[in-house]
Amino acid sequence: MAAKLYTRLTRNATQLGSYSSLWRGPDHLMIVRSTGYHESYARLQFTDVKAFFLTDSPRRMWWGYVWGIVAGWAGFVLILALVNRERPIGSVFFFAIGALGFVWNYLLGPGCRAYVLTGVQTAEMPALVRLRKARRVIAQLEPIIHAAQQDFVVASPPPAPSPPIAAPTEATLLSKIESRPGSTEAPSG
Amino acid sequence: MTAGPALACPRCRHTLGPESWIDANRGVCWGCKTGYEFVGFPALRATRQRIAAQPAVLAADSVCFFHAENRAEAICDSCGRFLCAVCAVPFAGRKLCPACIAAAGSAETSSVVRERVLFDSIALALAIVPLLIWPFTLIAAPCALGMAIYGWKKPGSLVSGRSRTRLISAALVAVLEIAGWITLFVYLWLKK
Repeated sequence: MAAKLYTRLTRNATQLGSYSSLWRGPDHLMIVRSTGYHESYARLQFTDVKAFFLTDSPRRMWWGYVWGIVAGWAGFVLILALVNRERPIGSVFFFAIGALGFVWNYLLGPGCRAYVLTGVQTAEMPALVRLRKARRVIAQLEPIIHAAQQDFVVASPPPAPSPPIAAPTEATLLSKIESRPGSTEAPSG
Repeated sequence: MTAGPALACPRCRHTLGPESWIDANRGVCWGCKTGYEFVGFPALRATRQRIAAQPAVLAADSVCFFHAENRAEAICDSCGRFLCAVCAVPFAGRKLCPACIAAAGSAETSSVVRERVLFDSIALALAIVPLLIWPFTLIAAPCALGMAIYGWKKPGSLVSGRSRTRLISAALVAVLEIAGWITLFVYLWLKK
């Protein structure tokens, strides 16, 4: 059964017009990118994974600006309505949405970009966009990858190249000739 | 200890020397000034052990199906053929022979499939979204019904499994829309 073959590691992370998620297979990691109508799958064998990179991302800052602007603007309208003794139902609603989004974005932790390094590529894992979640997923994968690579051996360095052979000089040739048995007499003529 | 390969920063491709990742698992790339964390695995500095087939010595030794001179060391999990160490390929959690791997590739099994079209989602969208501008359902409803029929035997999403609930829902909505249009046309025709 295909459904039991994979275990979900992350929820769907939304990008522009698509979303992606990360799944664990029996011997590989799978990055799923979907538009809702089409899915593409990228598999990374555990034995091929060399490293994970997590780099900083300004995601939390930008979302903080977005929610802050929503909450700030709605708060400003709310104060104006209270000063004018009106019933600020709409602005209370938007202020609550903005404030909740702001706090939620803060609680999710700093943003990050996650990459997986293999022998032939450096693939981004778009489903991992928050550092805390990324660390948790990598900690979950670490023992599995180490177990898959336990029979790996460090390649021995290639033998050092032998020094180049120098061209024989006249003196060395003469000494070789002299050292031969039966060549004690100098050549006549 | 700073022996190891140099890596490239995944964002700017700036070279990170071994000193950047062996002794410390975090740092800053001097190319893009981005902080990073690093988690390395044995494959970074090691390789898989070289596989060597054992020659068959005794007459009673079982031999590989593909190499009669090699001693059999494994059995293909799919077809049951005897395999030598070279022919027993780890694939999707099993040990398979090259012939079974080739067959898996041509059969588009879940281990090799690269993409899937989600016909159920397309059919449902075709049935529901045009309701926002209802005259479009005149064209979209037959399309949704056709898509539901076409996608009935097609494989669904690899990860979320295959369910025909969406296809059935889409077909039902499409049939209702088509019935509505037929009723409208009959009413207008009788009114004349």
